[in-house]
Amino acid sequence: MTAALSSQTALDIIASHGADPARWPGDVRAGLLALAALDDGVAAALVEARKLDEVLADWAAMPAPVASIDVAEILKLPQEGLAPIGPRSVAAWRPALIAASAALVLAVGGWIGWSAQTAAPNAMQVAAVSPSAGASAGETDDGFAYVFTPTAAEEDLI
Amino acid sequence: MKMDAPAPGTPPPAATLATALMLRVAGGDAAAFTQLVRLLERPALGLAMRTLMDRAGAQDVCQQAFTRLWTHAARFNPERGNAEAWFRRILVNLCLDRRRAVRPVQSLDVAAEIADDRPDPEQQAIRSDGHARLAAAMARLGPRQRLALSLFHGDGHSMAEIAAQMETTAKAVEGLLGRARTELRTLISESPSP
Repeated sequence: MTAALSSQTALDIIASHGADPARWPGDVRAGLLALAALDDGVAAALVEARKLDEVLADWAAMPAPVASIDVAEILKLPQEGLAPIGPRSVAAWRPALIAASAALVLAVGGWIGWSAQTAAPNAMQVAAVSPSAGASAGETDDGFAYVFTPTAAEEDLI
Repeated sequence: MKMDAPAPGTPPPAATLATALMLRVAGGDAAAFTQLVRLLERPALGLAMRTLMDRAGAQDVCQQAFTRLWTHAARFNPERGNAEAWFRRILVNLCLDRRRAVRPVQSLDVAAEIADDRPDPEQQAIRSDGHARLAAAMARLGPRQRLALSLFHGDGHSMAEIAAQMETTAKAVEGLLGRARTELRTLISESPSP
């Protein structure tokens, strides 16, 4: 790597990384130091870079103003992905609501089944047979005509 | 930013502590959040100040960054890096977004005031003048240049780490730093001596 390092590459590295060999890329460090001992231009660039490094270290070390982050204000905000208080309490009740619903369905279903078993057979018979089942064909036609034939007043309206 | 295992009895490094706290913050732990703010606020404000060169703006950006840290805590994934680096990426983005949105014209006089607002006694005069000249020169650089200089010379990050935080390549950061250092040297040499 030492042989391949040109003066221009060395100057570019010093320009971007500064004069501290510890900050240079590891694969060119030895080559660059060797070149600086031979090349006056590289040596001069190192001297200039060292001065600038000191200025920049001074700049970076300047005290920052006292921080005043308003933590209380931030904590008032809801967090993404965490449900707010209302829905969270509903979520906590969800299993109980499901269990109560299931119990209600079972209770109603059981009551209907029990009612079906204990009810009088005749009552079921009455409910299952049509009122017109026992009527003759003529009675049925009369009933139909009675219901669906309009009266005189209804004719006027039509 | 390498995270070594702490020796027994020694406190964990800030990055490890920040990650541990961040995992609790993701669960809604307000006390852990307060501790995390206290851990990160000073370096955050320093970085924002050096980048923006505006005290109010820096504090505003830090407040926004910590707000995002709290509200977006569930997005933190420790497998993708430590919490300190994640927070710094949020802060860097906010700093650069702010500069893009505002682009204030910073006068050199104002820049000189920013350099050191402490009382300026005689024994600190020479040092303060040096700071003022440097701040004036810094004010002429772009915010991305100042940010790169701050991360490299202030926080000691590598090119690769800076590239990750600025969402660019290490090669681009090298170019950015090279141009920033060259411009800065020229500006300092051109500025009048006190």
